[in-house]
Amino acid sequence: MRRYTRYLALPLALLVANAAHGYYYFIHYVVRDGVAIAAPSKFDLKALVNNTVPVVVNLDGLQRLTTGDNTIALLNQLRRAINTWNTVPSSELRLAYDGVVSGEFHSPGPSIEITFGDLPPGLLALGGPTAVSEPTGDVKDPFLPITQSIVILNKDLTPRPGFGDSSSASYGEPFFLTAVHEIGHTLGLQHTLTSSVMSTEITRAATKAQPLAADDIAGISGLYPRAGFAESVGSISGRVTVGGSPVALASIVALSPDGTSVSALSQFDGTYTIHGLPSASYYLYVHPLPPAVQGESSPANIIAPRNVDGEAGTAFTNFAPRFYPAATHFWDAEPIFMTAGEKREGFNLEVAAHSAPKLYGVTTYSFPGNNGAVKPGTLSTSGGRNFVVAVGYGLSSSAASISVVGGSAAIAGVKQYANSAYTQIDFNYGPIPGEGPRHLMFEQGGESYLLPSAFRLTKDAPPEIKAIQPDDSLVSDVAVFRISGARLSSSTVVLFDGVAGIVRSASEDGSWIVVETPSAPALYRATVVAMNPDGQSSLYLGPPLYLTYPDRPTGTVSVNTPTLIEGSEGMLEIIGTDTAFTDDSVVVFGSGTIVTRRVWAVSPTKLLASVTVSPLAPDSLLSPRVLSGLSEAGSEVNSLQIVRAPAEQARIAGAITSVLNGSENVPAGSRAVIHVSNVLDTTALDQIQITVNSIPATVVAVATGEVTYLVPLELGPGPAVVNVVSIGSPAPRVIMSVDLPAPLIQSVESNKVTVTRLAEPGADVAVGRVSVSIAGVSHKPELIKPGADGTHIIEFVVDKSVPAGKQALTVSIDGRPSEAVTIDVKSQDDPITE
Amino acid sequence: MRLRIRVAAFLIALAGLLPSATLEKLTLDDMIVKSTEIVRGKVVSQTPVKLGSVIYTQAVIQTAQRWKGQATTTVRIYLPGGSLGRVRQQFPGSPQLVAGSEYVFFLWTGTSGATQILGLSQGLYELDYSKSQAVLKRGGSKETMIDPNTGRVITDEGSVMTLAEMSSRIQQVLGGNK
Repeated sequence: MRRYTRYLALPLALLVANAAHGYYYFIHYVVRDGVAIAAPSKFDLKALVNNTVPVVVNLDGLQRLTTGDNTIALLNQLRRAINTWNTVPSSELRLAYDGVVSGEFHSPGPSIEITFGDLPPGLLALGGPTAVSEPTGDVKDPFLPITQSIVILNKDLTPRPGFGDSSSASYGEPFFLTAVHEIGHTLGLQHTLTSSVMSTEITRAATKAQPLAADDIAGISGLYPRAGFAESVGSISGRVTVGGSPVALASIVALSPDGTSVSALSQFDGTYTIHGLPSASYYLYVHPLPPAVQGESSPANIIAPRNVDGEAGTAFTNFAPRFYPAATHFWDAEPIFMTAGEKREGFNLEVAAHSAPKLYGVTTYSFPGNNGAVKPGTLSTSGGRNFVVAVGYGLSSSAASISVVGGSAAIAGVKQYANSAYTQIDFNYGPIPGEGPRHLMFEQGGESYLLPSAFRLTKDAPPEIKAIQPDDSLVSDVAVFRISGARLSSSTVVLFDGVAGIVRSASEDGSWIVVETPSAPALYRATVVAMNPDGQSSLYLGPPLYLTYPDRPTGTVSVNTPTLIEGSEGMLEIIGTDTAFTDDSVVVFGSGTIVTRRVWAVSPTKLLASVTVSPLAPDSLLSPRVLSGLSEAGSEVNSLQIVRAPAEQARIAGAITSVLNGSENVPAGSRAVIHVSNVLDTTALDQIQITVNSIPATVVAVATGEVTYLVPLELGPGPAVVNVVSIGSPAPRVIMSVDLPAPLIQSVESNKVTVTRLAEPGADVAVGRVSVSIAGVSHKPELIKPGADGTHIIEFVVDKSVPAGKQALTVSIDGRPSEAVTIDVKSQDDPITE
Repeated sequence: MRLRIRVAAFLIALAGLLPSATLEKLTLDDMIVKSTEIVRGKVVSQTPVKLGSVIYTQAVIQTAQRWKGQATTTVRIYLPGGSLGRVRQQFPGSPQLVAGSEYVFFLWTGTSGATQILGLSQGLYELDYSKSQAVLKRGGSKETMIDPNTGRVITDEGSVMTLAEMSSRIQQVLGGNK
């Protein structure tokens, strides 16, 4: 109890004013109005351009790679790891790879730097945030803003003795998952104990095909929530106590038999909240943090929160795991069903004092082929070996009792594996075993331990690649290959050194797929790896195959927009020679000061980029580079200048959007909004001149910082250059995305709407493309027929839910809405009169 | 059975991975061989320094005993993370030393010239003089581990050890050369 007493002694420890943070972050306590408030370290979204953190890679320290590996492959695998954190739709934070830097990197704004360092033996990588000590943010929800986060990878990436190439090569699962994990630390995430990518290597059950688990998603979304996140998930809160007194830093996990698990650590007052629970049925359990093992300076290497005096707290670990409400086994636990938006409170857990855990840190492996073990244990229910082997602290094959949480699979036997220290766990599958992670509960000698996502069930064996051959359907300059093997489908992701190809067609029996390969430099030799949605990879069955690209000239680019100004949107026109630009091309600057909003490949050799320059950007000269697939084309050195302009200079903020629906694709002929810094609501319309692709646009309204104009009808769909001269000050050129014209309502009578611009005059239009909205109620047309003078007549029946009275009516085609007209909805007998 | 034995060997290799940061398990003998210095000493001071983009806590160690490396009375070691001015850099797993406490350090100096603890915290043993003999403690005392050579479950050989036993082992591995 000595340690426990210490929590109580922490200054203000029990006076925690704000709601407990879910997950577990880098927490510091700050005092506000006499009470301690938990403040996590996180990026300040208000200090970022477009909520985006630039990530640069410094290759200065890199010394050795695995044989056959190269820096192009390495950088593209890192790009994929970086982009993994962009796949969480409920998180506002975005990361943008910004190229390679050299020397000491200085970014005026928040950034992440990935470096290769002189790490001592036994240390392969580390990462973490750098945060300002003083809190900022809302009084009740303060945080310590992250400034420059760091990932340090080992400068020597050759395999360690006894390990294969895939253990260290950039194409391998360990390198990728290590990068995702360390980047997670730089964003403000600490370790978790749910076997997600932010778990320590011992229990981590993430795979390259499915790197993020529910706990990772809840963690990053809780720190950087997108609007609506809290309403889309549930939360559980309560308090953990022993003998009625609070338990600090206990791990509380909501565990669904379907494989989902989301966790939180209790605060010093024992309170906890698990945020981010997808709708499902959960068991709730609490367990102590395991003891620090070799290589850990604290339990699970979690940095304990510091109190207001900078003193770190310690976890109370002397208690036995417990399921809600008061069960020692999950089968006696009370399931909790959570729905979206539900916030359930009062799930208190009283635990019993017990010695610190002696059974913990279990790792499982399986053998899907003859290429050795894979982790986590993955079992195909359609055949193959039906066992995993496990090893963990305190686990003994002769004494352990093991059970699967939930149905779908059952333990058939437990025994020693191959005369080793490993425990073999045999399984039987239920009639409908399902797929996904499954949890195991281990019991032995009065100890119990639950390992979330202990193994993975899959319907099929891993994908297999047997051959790669050029396909006969080779189209123009695009390289298309037929990949032969097994369990390949249109859902298979084929990675060429970290860049996904495009699957064009697939056989029905899974024996081949045809893939368009990403662009690559001349004679480049790329590894080819297939990954399936069930989380498995072709690397489970053997080493990767290689594809050697044909000889071709090296691409170069030039920038036709040599100057941008700080704190404004801008555009770049990039002309390439021997390039293969696509809409997925990326422009990088190696500065941390420019974020690319979007690119348009006008042709394989012409690229338009919409960019945002940080208001903190200094006067500087940059050398943009364009990444297309695995190819990288550089411009002349210092071909782009960033200048700090006077305050009165007109600047553009944000994207140009449609007045009709806020979309960044604005229909020709409709109203668009552009944000211009020096415009006031008193500014006269004729003080602002706008052209779009050199065609004058009519300014129809102004407000402070905002101009509304008509997009010229004659513009075709695609990117268009917008020039604004505001009160005599020319703003930087920007790009808008012009869409096809929106319908224009000519008249409404009875149940008919006559519109122009719906389609080519006289053309038939499928009713499924068109919608008539009245008072927000969508109506599918009964009939659409061409009318006179290029019009179309839309017939529909007014829904009974439309209220009587004056209502707004719009017509949309393919999601492009018309301007609204007001109609008078009278009654169901005579519903509409304009 | 042949396949199984091969698989078992592979497993053992995999078991060498340790928790994040991202670590590789080192045995005591590994650390004796791979270190450039092995010293016993007391933490005299700790100050933050910035090397490139990384903040380190530079600890000065007053050496009381040396088994390996050039004879000096103090050693400067660099621990990743620390507070410098208004900013704090944190790396999960980086050890925190206590000023005035005594430790045995397995150290490594790379090409950068900065001396660091092997394996982040693996090469750090705290000395406990409360027993009849000085005992070395490491984070995961009494934990069960897998011996990478035999595949057997063992107690970490370095976790509970007297200073005399440690000294004897170091000298044995180094062949008696200081």
